[in-house]
Amino acid sequence: MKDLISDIKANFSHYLVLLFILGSGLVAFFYFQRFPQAQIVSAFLTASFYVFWGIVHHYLEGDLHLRIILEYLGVALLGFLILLTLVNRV
Amino acid sequence: MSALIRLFLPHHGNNYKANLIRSFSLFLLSFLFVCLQLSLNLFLLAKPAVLGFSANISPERIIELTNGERSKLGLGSLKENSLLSEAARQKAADMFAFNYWAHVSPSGRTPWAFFTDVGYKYQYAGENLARDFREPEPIIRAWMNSASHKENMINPKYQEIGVAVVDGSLEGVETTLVVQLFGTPYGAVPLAQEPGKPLPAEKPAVVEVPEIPGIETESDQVISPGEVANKETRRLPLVSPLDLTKALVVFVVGVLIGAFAMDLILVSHQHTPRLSSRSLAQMMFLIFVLLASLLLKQGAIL
Repeated sequence: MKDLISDIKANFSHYLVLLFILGSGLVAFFYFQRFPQAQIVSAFLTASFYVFWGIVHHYLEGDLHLRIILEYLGVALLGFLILLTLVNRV
Repeated sequence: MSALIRLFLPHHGNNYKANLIRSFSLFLLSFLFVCLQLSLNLFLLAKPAVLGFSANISPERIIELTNGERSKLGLGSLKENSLLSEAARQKAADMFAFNYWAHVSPSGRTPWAFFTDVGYKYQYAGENLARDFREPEPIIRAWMNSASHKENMINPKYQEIGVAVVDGSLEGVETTLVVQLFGTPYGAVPLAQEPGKPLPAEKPAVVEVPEIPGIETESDQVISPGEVANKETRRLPLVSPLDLTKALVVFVVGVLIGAFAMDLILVSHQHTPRLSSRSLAQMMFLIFVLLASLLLKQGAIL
């Protein structure tokens, strides 16, 4: 657990930015409850900013690699598809 | 067993990265999720009675719940009127036909036109609308939480009610429309209040209309064909596709969060050096997806 705590401490500002991105995405998603198109755009932007965050974070850490970008892309794509489907089903 | 360990836990057998949270698996999951949703849509088209967008709402239940709210305030129950039910069904059909979600149609047709079209001569009239709900109770809650809709629900001037629940495609979205019409026939005597319970403060109802000249209706004796049609338009599904998708999402995202959590704990504990995305960040994003999915609000009233 020490590694985890030291990682959070060392990258506190990075995680704070990520929290802001995800929090804003969540607020926007609920704010546009009756506007499915806007909800889809919110979900897409949140997923895109998330991938961008990952790229910038690892670039600053000096360990940016295609494999890492693909991992962020994989999670972001899955998350976006889930929200897209649910918005269309509601 | 070792295959399961390699799938979910960082292990020397999988180069200290659970197979489930590798980029290939994530893309594969996305692909499978899309395939499953497409299959669900195809099944929906083939067997609409089994999996449908239809909600588990019946007009009778809406009337029962409405009268329940009125009785709590000591108000008399509203009597179902077949003409009002037919007017409600026609209103829903009009909304689907002209693709609008409003009290007044794009061509300027007011709710009162539907009352008169079916021959209901009203003294007072009101309309509540709801869409995208699957259960009747949340609709009543939503209406009771809205001042203008509540005024209609508990207006002591109303004596009769008609409800239609109709499925269709509105603004490109498959939905269920609920139209609730209130009315008091022209020349009707006001309802007696239950003794001992005060009337709610009278406020001008949003959709109340003034008295109009006309002949007293005989609507109570008329059996409208619309009543039958209204019931025929209902399809009660066994399973909702939204619920199925939500259950799938909770399962998939829950398992992924668990796998990333195990990765975070074990890698941190074992001080494993490796080139990988941040599991904590991945978990945060998945929690965002889970929250957004679970709290996705359903239904709208007008």
